Amino acid sequence: MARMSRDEYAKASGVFGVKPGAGSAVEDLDKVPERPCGLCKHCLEVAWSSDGRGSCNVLKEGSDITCDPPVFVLEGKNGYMMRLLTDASRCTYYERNEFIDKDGFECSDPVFRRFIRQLRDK
Amino acid sequence: MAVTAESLKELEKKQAWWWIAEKKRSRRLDYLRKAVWKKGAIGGLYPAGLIVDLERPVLQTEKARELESSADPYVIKFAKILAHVLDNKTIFITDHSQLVGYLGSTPNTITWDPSLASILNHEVINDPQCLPEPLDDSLRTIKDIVNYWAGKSDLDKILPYMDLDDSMKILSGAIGWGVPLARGGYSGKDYEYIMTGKRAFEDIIAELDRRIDDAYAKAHEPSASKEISNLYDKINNWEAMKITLEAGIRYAKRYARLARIIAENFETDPARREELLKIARTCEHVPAKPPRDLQESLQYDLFIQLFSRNEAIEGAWPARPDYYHGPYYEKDVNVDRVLTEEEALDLVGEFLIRAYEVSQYKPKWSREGLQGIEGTWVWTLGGVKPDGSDACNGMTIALLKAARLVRVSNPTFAFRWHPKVSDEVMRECFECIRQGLGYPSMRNDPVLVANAMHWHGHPIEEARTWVHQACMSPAPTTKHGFQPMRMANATANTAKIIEYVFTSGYDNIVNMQIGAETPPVETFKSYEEFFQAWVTQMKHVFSLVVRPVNRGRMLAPTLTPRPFLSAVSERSVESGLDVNDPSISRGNAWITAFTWVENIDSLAAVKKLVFDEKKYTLAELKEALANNWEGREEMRLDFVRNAPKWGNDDDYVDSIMLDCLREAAKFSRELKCPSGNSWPILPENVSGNIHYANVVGALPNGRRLGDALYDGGISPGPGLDKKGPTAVLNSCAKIDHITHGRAFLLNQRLSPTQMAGEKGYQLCKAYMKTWADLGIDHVQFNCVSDETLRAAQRDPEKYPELIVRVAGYSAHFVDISRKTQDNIIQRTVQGLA
Repeated sequence: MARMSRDEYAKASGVFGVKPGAGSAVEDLDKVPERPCGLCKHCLEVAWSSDGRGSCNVLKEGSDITCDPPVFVLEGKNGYMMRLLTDASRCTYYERNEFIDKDGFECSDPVFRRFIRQLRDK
Repeated sequence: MAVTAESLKELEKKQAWWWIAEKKRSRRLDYLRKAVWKKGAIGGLYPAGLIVDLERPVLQTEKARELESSADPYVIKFAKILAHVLDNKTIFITDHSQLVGYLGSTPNTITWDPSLASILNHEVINDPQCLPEPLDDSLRTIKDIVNYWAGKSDLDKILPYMDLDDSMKILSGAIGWGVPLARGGYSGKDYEYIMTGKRAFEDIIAELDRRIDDAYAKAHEPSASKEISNLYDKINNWEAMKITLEAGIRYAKRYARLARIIAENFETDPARREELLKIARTCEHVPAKPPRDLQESLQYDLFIQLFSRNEAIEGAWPARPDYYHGPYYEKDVNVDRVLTEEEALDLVGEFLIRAYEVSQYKPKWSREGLQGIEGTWVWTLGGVKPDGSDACNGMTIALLKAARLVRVSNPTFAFRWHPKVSDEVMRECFECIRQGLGYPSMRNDPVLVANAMHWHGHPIEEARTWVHQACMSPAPTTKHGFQPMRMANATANTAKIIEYVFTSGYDNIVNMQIGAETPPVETFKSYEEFFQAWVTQMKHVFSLVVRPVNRGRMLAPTLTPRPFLSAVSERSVESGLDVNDPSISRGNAWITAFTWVENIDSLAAVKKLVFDEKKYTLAELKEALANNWEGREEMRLDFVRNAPKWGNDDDYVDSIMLDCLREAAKFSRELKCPSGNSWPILPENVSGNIHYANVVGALPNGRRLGDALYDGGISPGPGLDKKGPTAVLNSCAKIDHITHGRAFLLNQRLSPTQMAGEKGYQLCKAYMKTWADLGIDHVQFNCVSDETLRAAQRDPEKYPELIVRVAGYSAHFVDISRKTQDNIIQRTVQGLA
């Protein structure tokens, strides 16, 4: 695989996902779209933190569901990194999850758990 | 109910130790214990009633903004921000308390340091539970703070210099635990410098002034050299150290003033007025000058711990309180007789409570991995002095007694056992274990002193000063031996090693190539080939968690300095270098190996059922694991029931443990820390076995995705040790506890019925003798019956103070998740004969 520049890698991987320019602006963090990635069954919240990042179980690195038209990459090694509040209205793979409970610690499987305040009552 | 011998006996029969404690402790301790806010997360969320303290981040941010145009170098700006916080934060004195100081502005607050990591700041914004009301106002303030620190936090500063590929893998949450930050981890202290009564802050300030003057003069001589260039950085560091020490003295004097104001203007009770005046005199004296009595010694220590936690998030509390406070206890209680034992117990008990209330907002991985507690405050008791003589004293006993009275889950104790420990002290340890505290854990001092010398070359006198750097790993408290920062990042979820052998390093849970791209598992023709793939994955995973820590440690002195910790460290005061500078540290690194024993049982299962008995092929097993054993339940049970399991004194599987440890130990010597020392492994878990249960796929030991992982570092799987406690000890004793790794955590459960009375003590003593003779370095016990634990699950409100040993720490049973509770109940209760 050709080596990416650090900047390209950072953007593709979302490693700096919370820095301005690479992720959501702080002001937007309370805007919950109609179809946020965080409510999709293919979304895996990053187990490491609850800063609002996740990866997609279907889409791969290189996808971009926020542009018009969206880019869906289904082959590749690494999952598509997104944020739980990313607007997935253009994603044709979106499937809303049926949550069995919303208790952040009783339901300990991250696939079914959404730890962030903004999705608490959704 | 009146306290009678009969009522206490009745409660003892019911093992209702928390009610006994309530009846036995003084009115002061009872008040303080009930007034303290529990801070440990319940499962993964902070308890109701706690709020994020916005005062500190507002102070930090306003000062940082003000200093933006300043010509000061970063280290001095940082010190000035810390001083601004200490000068302006709200202070309060809890009724009946004799020790003062808290991180937050009110007792129910969790402090938040926004300068550490933008990721953490976003967790605060997203927090579903503990943002102060009114929420809109809080969010406005928080967003302003988060916006300011975006791109300026330590992690933002460090990441551009890190390997992004490694960082991405760590941040996936699959294999690593923590961040490579010097202001976020476990900070040891140079207690031999700061806690021996020889010096305090004013002495150090005088020393810093001398050094600054000398350096300044030298820098302006008619000469030029690299050494002279370096002096400018040193002067900055020394000045920053001085700023923090002076701020510390001012902070204490604010408390002195407050106590005096309350005493002289508001307090009507003469006894309490005198106590407040004593607090005032104490805070006027320490930390400026060395302590003169027990109260001053404890207050001095508490101030140092709080200042250090104002500077950094500290996930551990390395300490040896009996050794350093012991001389003051002896003087006050036994020589000068200015304190009765009961009065001293009040101070010691309150010291535990003040530590219990310390709280700093931590990320989810930390809250889940340390359910029920704030951090691994494992305080070290017992052991030997540098000359090898017994170090136990009256303070050792006072701490053990106080622990049973206040029954906090944090701090806990670990006891350095050695052959010269008196029966009196051992009985006190036993009493804590019998009364269900889960602590002290027992550490084999001669083995661990030898281990410290073997792995890191600590001289014997320094090795003998060791304290627990976190749950388990020993670190000296000396000038070059102490560890200023152990970054939790060097923690590997090692069950992934065996998982990656089957997936050629691809992580199907987090959709990333994380491990090494070893050949497809079905191509291996022999167990040896299979095992070599395991070795390859082991090296890959360990390197992955170590590289960022090494890098972070090297960047720390410049990008994320710690002027206060430097100021209380002889090597920094002497050299002018930041405390984290690797060139002035001997190095005491270790890799925490979570979920280690899954590897052993999985390798044994593959060896027996695939290669020896040829019942299954690797291709079949790979498919079964990929499908999480679905449709293959019979096969799964075969792997559970008919493969040998660690902990049964069975050489077939025990020899695999030794093979794995030998390979890891060999590689540990190849992995070097920035000080040039080794990276030995240390198998243990805290509650990582539950946190990681969801990110470790199906394994050949019969485990399914989501099942709790094994609880210990070398503990057998719950319920899989079928041959009794001696067999467990025999298996563990096959490990060389000096050369195979840094330490090995062993959880055991004992029957409370069997532990009752003198007979119980004698049984425990015999067990401990076997354990010591076998050269095992660690053991800790749960001594609470299934009946009590299940009753607490049914009626948690009736058992709020029930404590259990989770792994390297204890927690209130009701604060840990149901999955962790079940895992503890599943552990085999060992009957001692």
